[in-house]
Amino acid sequence: MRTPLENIERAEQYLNNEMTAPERQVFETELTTDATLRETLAQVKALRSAVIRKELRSKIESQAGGNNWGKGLGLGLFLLLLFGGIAWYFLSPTETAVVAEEEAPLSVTDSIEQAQWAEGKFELGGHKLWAKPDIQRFGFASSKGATIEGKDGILVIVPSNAFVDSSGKVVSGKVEFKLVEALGIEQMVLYRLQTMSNGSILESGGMFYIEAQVDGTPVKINPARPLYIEVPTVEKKPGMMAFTGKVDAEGKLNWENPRPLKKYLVKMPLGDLEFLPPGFANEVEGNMPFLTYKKATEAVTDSLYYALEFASIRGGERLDQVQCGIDPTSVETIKKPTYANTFIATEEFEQRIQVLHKAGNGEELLQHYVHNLGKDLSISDSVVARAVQADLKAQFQAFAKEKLTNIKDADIYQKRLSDFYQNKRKELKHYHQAMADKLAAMNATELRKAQAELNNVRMPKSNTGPLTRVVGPVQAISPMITSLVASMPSPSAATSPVYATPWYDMGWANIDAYFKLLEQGTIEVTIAIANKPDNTSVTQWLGDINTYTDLRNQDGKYVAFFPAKASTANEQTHTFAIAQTGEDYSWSMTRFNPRTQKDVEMAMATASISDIQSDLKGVDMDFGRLRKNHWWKESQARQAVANQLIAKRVEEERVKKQAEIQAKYEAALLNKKEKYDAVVRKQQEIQNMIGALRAIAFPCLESVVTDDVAIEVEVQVVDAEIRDILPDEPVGALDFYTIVEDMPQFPGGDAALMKFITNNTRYPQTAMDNNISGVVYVSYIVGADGRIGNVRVVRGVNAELNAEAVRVVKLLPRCTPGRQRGQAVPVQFTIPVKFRLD
Amino acid sequence: MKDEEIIRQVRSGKPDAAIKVLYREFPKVCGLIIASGGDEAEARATFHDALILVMEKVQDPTFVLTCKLTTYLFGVNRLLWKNKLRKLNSIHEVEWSDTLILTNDDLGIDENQESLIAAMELVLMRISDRCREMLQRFYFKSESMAAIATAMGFTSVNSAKTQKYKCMEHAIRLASDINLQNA
Repeated sequence: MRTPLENIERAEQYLNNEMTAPERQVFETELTTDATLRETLAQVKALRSAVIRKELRSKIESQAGGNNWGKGLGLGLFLLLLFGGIAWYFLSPTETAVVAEEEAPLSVTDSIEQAQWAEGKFELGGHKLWAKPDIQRFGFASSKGATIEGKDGILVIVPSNAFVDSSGKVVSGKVEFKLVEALGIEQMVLYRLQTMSNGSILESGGMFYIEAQVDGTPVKINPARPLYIEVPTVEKKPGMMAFTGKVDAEGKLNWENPRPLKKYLVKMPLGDLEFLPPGFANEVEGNMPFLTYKKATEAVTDSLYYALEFASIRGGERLDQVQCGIDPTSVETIKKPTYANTFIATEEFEQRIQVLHKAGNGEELLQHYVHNLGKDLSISDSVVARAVQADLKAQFQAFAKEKLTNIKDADIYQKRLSDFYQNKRKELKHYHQAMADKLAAMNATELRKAQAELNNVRMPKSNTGPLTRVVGPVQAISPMITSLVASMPSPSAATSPVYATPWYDMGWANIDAYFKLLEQGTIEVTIAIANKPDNTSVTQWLGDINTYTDLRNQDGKYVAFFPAKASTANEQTHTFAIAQTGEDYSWSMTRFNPRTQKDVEMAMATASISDIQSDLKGVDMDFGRLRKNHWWKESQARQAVANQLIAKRVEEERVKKQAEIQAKYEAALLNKKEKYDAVVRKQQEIQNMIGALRAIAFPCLESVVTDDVAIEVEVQVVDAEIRDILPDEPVGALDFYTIVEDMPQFPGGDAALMKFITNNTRYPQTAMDNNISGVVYVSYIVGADGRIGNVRVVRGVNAELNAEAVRVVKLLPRCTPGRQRGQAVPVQFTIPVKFRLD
Repeated sequence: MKDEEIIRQVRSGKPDAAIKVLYREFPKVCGLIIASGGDEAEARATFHDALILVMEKVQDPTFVLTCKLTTYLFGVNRLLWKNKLRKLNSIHEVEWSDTLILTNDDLGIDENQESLIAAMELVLMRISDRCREMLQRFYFKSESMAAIATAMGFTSVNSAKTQKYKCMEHAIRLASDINLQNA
């Protein structure tokens, strides 16, 4: 096996043609068998390309900065496209003289728009912007409709025949659909999207702009077949409504006409939904192979679950009346095709059933849902919220608040929604698998590392305290990975929340709630701005509570109001100042905490639009942008779990290593004891012999005096030999005994000890309620001074009983210490503490 | 400047003039990319990548140009933009009329190798200046190790070589870390 450096060296020589013909041949042969070498070769090749590309790129980029093709010719190009567009418009589509027009003809309005943009004047839907909007364009046939997913995750379902002309007649033809997403502070500032509705402040859950043209003519949305729009969010906030944006007389965008949101249920194939209790499949997998089954296929897992008898789930003598969760037979029933067109076949119901498994009366509650399939899901949710046990109540109250209706309501969107979410689910599943594989690989790597580290570590010779005993076998890797994967969120789109609503208007839209916190009193902060051009717009953004408002100039300063009631959002407060002159901007942005800072100063400076964009990208915000990046939050959690896993592996390896050392020790100790016994026997023999001889030699002497000195020397010799056996091991670490000549004595003897334990043990109430019993084995050390120490559970039952047993053992009074060869020494004991229910 | 002249210059290690000439095609490519769903920034990034690929291709002594170099550049741009759209699952089509149709295989583009190269490019900012200079001299300027050893003050050619291998090992290790994080 060669080192990485050697492999790199050879790959480099190979690529530089520095090898002799036979060397090349050897190298090429090795490549076919040695995957590491292949990888190294690919890496060296990549490095060579990267060095060259980096140089070329910097040359190219200096070229890009060095001339103004982008701006000067850009406008020319737009004009060219403009004429091309008009030509296309009036000529037959086959006579395309200009490239690029064939696929996406620009309409007249678009062309005007783009020509204006080229001059630094930006406008969208009659609303003036600071920067060019990021327009996403989609083309489809109006008779077919479309499923549109924006870059930042807004989903637009366009049913067939969703567009009408100004007279209300359905138009058919080629649709060009434009979508602009504004889910972040960057867009809110650059598109001037303040959250004001007729003077009231709103709290935004995301904004967007839509517009459509059919064969080049602007169209409206057919009120009989509205669009259905979902806006992703991190967390659903109450009171959200859908507002439409209208430009008022001052040229400001005002949010009007709030309408309640309405989320439709999405039908999924029943086979895709996971109705088994959380963790069940993993448990089955962990116990494979089982009988003749090697793998936990879905069929095996399902049949094992369905075979469980409901009444005896908990086992035991007195438990046959106690029910918990759901009867497996019921789960089998609702998986039948009869339920495929009901709300049972939705991810939302999947979420509910996962919770019902934990409910004492889960079966009864499931039956309630099943018997009310015709009603809205939210009606059953609120009934269940009242009937469920206390700890699950909040969960079902939250479900009821989602106000989910019935599956039949979404008819015109159902097929598209269903396809979309089925694809999402598949994607997530693949992601899960990839993640699990990656974790397994990581685990293996970390394990190797830990192993290497452990091999290098030599145990310190002394003062390390008693060695830890291994409790139970070291956990195998695969079940741990399985449980780790199980701890990831389920691959359900229902778990990534969205604000959803049918949508009737073209133009600007905003998902908003009225912002009420200011009504409970305000505090104010004064903001002074230096180098401020006359036409400056000053705006204020409150982080988590996503409000974005104008600040007004009062005697040369700006005053911002914040809710008096503390809220985390106040830590995330930003003020922005922006002004535009032609294509140049003046800009400043500051972040402050209004609770600690009452006066804020900022100074504006010339900035390019990309400077402003990069400033805004630096603002932390926990809002929107979710559906496409479902994993950004979870990946952090997963990383944390992975780190824990690694730590656990390392710890397990450490414990295992210690156990090996301990076993070696015990063997050595046994050996030592045998030798010691042999010495003692020899000593005894000598004593007996001397005694017998003396009695004859000195008949007048009554007692026998033994020759201690000689024997002591021999014992020391043996001890020295034993030390030689274990040169590397921590002799001093083993500072307690398990068997000594005089064992420690509990005051009153063993019977008194057991009585003390029995009298002082209190049965924990919850354990009693849950009918948990068993024996906890507790080990402790009686020190050389007779005190009790190092109390530990060797084999436990559950956390409560373990804790109680440890507590009682710690109460034990001082004992008479154990003695070995006349010297008081620490001795370890293990005693059973029994918990029994009668 | 004729195509043959451009190719000759690139092959002799002087790409600057070639870059300047080919960059004049950017506005047209930019227009095409905007028309098929991109914006200017994306167009610029794509164009730069395409230009790099063309340079790499031209540097390969076995490469034979069968059409005009600009036509070839347009073809590469079209392919790269198409690849990018495919990654974004965009519904836009890239039907640029009169553009050379190239595939990943034609250009020898391998997605895995591409992402490895991208990781390496990032890594190059994180290794020491001395390492970077050495790699740049050797690979880009094609200087001999003897010349590099003299210019950079190594005591011998061998110690320069050893240092180069160590630099490479460091870069490769950093890149693997990046790949592990992104995988």
